[in-house]
Amino acid sequence: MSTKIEQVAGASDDWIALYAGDTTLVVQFGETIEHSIVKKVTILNTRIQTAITSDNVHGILETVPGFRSLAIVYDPHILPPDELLNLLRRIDSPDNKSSKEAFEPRHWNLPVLYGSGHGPDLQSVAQLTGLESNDVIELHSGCTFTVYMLGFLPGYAFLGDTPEELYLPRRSEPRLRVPAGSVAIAMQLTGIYPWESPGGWHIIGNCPIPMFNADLSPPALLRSGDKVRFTQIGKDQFDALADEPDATGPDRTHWLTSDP
Amino acid sequence: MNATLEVVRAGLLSTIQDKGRFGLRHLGIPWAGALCPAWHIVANALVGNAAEAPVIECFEGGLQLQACCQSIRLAIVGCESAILKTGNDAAWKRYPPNRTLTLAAGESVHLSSTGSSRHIVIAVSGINIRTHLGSSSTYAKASLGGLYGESLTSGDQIPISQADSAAKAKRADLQCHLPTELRYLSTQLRAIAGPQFDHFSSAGVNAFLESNYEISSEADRMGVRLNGPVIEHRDSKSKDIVSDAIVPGSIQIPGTGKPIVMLNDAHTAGGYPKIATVISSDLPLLGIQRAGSPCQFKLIDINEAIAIKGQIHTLIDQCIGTFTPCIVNELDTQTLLSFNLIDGVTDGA
Repeated sequence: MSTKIEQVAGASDDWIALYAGDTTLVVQFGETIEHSIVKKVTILNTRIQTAITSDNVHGILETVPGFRSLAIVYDPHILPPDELLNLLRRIDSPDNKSSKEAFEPRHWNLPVLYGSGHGPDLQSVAQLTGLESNDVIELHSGCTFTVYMLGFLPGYAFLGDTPEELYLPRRSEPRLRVPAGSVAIAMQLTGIYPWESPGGWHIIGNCPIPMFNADLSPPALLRSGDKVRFTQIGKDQFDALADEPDATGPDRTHWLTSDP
Repeated sequence: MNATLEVVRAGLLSTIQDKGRFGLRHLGIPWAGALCPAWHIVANALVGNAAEAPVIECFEGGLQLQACCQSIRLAIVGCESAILKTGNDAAWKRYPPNRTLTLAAGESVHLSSTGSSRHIVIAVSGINIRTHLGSSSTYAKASLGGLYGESLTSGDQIPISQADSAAKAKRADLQCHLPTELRYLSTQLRAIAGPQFDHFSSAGVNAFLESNYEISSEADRMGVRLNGPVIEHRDSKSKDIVSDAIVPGSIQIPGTGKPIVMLNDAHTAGGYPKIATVISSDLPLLGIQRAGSPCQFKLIDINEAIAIKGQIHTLIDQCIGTFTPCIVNELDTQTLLSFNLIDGVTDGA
């Protein structure tokens, strides 16, 4: 083979940079799903956004945070890859403390109807984990999740970590139709389906607040780094919210909480 | 009455696309956009639209469009063997693509075949479609773009800004000459190694680089599955990764070892390792070529890929700089004899 195969574009103590084609660089912090890795992705992303807005850096088209890597889409004719790498090393240096604290997560408190017809797997999750249904609900609504990334579907948020007592592999039989709003778990992750779609996770409840509204900007309710707590609601409240035009309207701020 | 271009028959999968919806991948929203940016830009230039104006992208034959209320100029860019017919059912005239066609009010154009390629691009002078999150590109999964967030259906009325279209329709029809590189006939897919190149055994890498693959019939705007020798993972642990970013061009190798090359509507993240990424300059080939077409992968380095990208921009500019008035009009000589050859040439050029 005449071509030298070089896939690593650059590295620091914390990451390696990998090419994903001629317009994307993937900065990889690890190969597992861990809160500490997600945090590093979020910090680098914030620093890049700061560099674009306050240091007038040109050529970065968009950034895409993932569980363990940050994809940077750039125009190589404006910002050649080695200059992008230099920029990354510069803003990632320990001296650059300014933007470390710049990321302010939003805190959400989202209502969920657990179990019954809207959480068809609540019973089986209880059985498989050796818990009572109420314990499952208490554990799931008793912790604060972080939005690790969005993907799979527009507006689909991957939240972590689900309490360890509830860790389960994906269902062996994926469902062809998971209803929109379904709150589902698999291993350390919790997801909220913005759309009806096929899916293999255990559905334990449903959140009546739309995760995606194409008429709003941004269209997705959640973004990477946000904090989320779930509050159990009853059937009547669920029905009222599902019917309420305001719930689907622009006033999403109602579900924000100032109390982390 | 407002001028519109009516979709008489929608064909197989016809969508409105522009250059794409950028800046929202972090929310899980793919770019969508024209699978062949060069054709998109050239088609718009032929009708005098802005380069980023939306176009109709359609697969296979079947699409039929009718000018309502006023004359409308279209430009069709695609494979040379595609066949277009204009007029009405009683008297169709046949035309090759890579030119403009001016429909008189009430006249139709019928795309009877996309020829040896899978898709074709139709630009419409003065097309006037609202943007949705910064783009008119159709992404049906999230009901974004197009006329109603979905592909075109029979009876749809595509709005035309009247002044624009009427003015341009008076000029002579133009034709373009697509250079070889913009016809995407090559069978070579140049790619950059990674991000998970090291997840494959040396036998796997050899298969990837030395084999002939074939475009399968499982091909849409999300991606294209290829048939051919299995690309072996390094070990069973290498078959799955913690989900990371997918971009158009990502070559995913699932457990079966058969490559899937992702295109514009693909998910923004995924859990299969990616041996390499097809360079942006070669990616249109996979949207254009038909099932059964052969292809081979060749790894190149990033600087070469960037240089090729620059050359493609230059070729597009040159193509746009060398439009000529149409001399030969119809394809069918018999119809040709019954038709005034001077029409459309002298008129205002």
